[in-house]
Amino acid sequence: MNWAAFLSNYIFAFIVLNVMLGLMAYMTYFERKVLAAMQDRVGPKRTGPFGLLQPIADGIKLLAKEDIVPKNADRLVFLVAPLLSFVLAPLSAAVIPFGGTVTVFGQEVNLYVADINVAVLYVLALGGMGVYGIILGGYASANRYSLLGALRSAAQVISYEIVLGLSLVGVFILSGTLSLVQILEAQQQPLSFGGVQVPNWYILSQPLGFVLFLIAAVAETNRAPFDLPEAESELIGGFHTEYSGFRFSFFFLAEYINMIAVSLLAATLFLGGTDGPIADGVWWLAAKAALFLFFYIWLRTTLPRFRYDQLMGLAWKVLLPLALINIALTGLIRLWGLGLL
Amino acid sequence: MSLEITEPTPVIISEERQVSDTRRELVLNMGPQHPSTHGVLRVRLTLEGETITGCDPVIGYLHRGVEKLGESKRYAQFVPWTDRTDYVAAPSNNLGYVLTVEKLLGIEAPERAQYWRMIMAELARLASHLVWLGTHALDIGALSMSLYCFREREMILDIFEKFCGARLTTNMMEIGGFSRPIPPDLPDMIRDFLAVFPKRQREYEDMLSANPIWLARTRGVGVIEPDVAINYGLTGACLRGSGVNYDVRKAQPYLFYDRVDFEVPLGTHGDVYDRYLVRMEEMRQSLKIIQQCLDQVPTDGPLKLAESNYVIPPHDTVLTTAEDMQRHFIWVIKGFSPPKGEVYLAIEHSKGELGHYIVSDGSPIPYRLRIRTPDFVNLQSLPYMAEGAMLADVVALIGTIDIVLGSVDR
Amino acid sequence: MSDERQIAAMPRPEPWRDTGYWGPTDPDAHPAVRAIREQFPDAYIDAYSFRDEMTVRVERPRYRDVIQFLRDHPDLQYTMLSDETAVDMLRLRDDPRFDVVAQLYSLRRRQRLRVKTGVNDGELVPSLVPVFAAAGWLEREIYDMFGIVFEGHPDLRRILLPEDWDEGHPLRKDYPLRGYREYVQPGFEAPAPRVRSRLRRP
Repeated sequence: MNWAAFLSNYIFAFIVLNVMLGLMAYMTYFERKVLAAMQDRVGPKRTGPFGLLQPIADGIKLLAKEDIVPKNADRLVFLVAPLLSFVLAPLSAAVIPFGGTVTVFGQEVNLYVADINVAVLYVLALGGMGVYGIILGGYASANRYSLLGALRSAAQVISYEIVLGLSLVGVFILSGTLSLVQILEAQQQPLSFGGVQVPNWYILSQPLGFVLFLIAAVAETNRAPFDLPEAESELIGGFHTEYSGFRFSFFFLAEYINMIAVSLLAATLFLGGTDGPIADGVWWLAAKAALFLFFYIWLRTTLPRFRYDQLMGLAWKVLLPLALINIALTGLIRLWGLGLL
Repeated sequence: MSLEITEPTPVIISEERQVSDTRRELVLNMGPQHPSTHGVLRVRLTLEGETITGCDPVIGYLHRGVEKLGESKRYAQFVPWTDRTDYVAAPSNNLGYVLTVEKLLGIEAPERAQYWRMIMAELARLASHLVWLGTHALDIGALSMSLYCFREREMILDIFEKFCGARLTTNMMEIGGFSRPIPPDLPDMIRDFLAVFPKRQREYEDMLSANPIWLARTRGVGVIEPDVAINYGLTGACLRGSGVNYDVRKAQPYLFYDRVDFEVPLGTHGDVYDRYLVRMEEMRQSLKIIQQCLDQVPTDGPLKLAESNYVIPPHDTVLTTAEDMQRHFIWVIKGFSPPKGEVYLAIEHSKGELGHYIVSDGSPIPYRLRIRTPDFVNLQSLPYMAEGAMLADVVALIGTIDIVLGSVDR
Repeated sequence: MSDERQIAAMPRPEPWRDTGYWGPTDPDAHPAVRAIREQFPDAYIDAYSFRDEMTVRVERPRYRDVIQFLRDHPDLQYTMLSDETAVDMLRLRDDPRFDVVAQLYSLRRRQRLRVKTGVNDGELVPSLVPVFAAAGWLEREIYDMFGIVFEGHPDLRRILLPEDWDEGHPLRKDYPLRGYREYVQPGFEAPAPRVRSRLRRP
């Protein structure tokens, strides 16, 4: 690797990180607007044109707030936990391919930060790590509600991590790789059925896997109706009950970054990523991810919250068997297709 | 930037308890500041994991001594205080108190006033049920329901405002009838509401009634058997959800409830879901009652009992006739003296049986004024329902009992 | 519609008198009163009616027995305790000082009945909790507000007032409306002088 390639990669990573952070801020705006529209309200409109400066105002407000550490808290862990959540969240964007390779000023630039051959495992591992922030924060707060929220989070992540991983195995079987770049490339060859061109998106060959992934991803990001760790009607704030100011906003931002990352991942794995009917490019990826984000918000306005035991029951009794069936079926079909059966 | 709180030393209310070698219990103090205890209810929960092994509701954080105050005020002066007990359905409270005093006095308001009292009481029931539905659904996690419900409640509050000028603490009814005329466009306002509301209610039911998560959260949760419900003295939807047919409007009709046609919905399982269905159907029946009242109510006629020393004389005759001026003077300065005796009158409040028990010693001040609020008695069943349930169920149970802490604590 | 109108136009009978919601207004004709008189001749004091309401007064030691009898009697079935409260009769009579009042309701017969018993300060009233679970909090409230102690109540604590309330029982008639103590209202304690003058210094 020459220096120019390294530098271009570095610049691209810098751009991705900042775009992610900006997007996340406007994700809150998007959510509030969509929620308001669904709930017969107006939403933020006073700060700037159409309330567009609202995320900035929120950020300033959170920054200016007092950073309170409860007396009984485990001080070091309490301070580090939100950082852990926040730092790990945007890392998963590193393996998302925003396109192939383009040439800028005679220099080949990859539109992805890293193409690692275990990219999906890397994303799943990051998701598992990010939960440490929640668990440690809940434990360190020395608050019963936080503790219960942290325990719920731990149980929930263990359960849904498995489903999340297994729901993707079908895609791996079909594509034969764990690299997101190669999965994306595999989806770009259109299939032809008697002259009808159909995109080879894995949502068409893996519909069950897609649905499982979607459910598990919502649970993984602690969003409604699986927002048990922070169920405000039961646990007040759950793991972040005792957090205030910018430490609270770290948790808050991490949640939104995770949502965006999972949406990008879903768009890449199942909807063909940057692939589109015309003019392939990053805008298709953005549009598909926005669809998922809208779906997240839609769920939040519509559905009540699960109970803890029902949540676990759903994961272990329904989703996990379905995921295993999906793997078995996909494997059999694949073997049959290869003529090995 | 970070600041360590050193003062005051935190009082540790919750502690862990070693029950046996392998079991430990966690005592969780839920409330009085908690998003879903509907005010200042405090529940002391003993948890084993997420399962509840003990539940002790602690009330009294909103106790204002309403009964003691009632024993220091003249009969007519107490009507505004009834608003403050159950502030979600203030006209119903007005009605319960006013009817009890009228019973003590042996008088009855004119027909037109009685019909309008029914309309207002049923609107109050709708308003109260809408608050219940919104907060109950919000507790279980359905975020949007509360906003939808308050949208419709706003229409009812507008009707109240049109009628008496106040929205929440209405102070609407007086002993002997109403003191204000009915605004001429009020029936049309109510008819508009009646036309809009059924459609909106179907929307709510579309969102909840068949929602699998809602069913999972409410079915089989907080079951009360009929005999237990009776033994606990439950009334209202809590009792009818268990299938016991007791509605004061049917059992012991007051006002003109015997002249209107309505049905009392009954549940079969006695769980949270049945109580939800019962209340939803009650809203529909309330609309039916209001519609019939609007059809039956005389368009003109007195709204207030005349020629009675118990009733404040109408404003225009006070200014023109000497007798009424004197009566007015005495009524205001001394109040009226009811006969000696004691009365208990129950009405069907939106939450159950609202009883007022008045002991009169012949003086213008009630000797004893007891308010039997339905939620106080209903809340007593919370430990029974919560035993063995999950932590998340407690908020559903508090919601299903439908408490207003002003009414529980008085 | 037309006959409904006619019904509406009909004058009501004397209001609050002949509702029948509390049974017959004549105590001698009231089945519950007669049953109590037969079953508890020593505990029955008297029965009287006001408007349509029937009140039975019984002796304190048999209070719970009478109510249990009314609940279990196959013809009476007063299965629901609507309300239980107390009245401080301080200014109306000398002895006994308090009345404990239970409002019973029969779901089957749709009738009410009031049962009263007198109690002096320091005497025990048999608790209704073994008969009606509803009495649990109602009796706690009576204890809280009047200081009447119930015998056999499993959990007799204060309920509306704080557990460490040390100023007696507020619904007693000798309890002043504003309490025994003077409470400084916030903002009214020793207002600070607006101008600090040297003359004020000692």
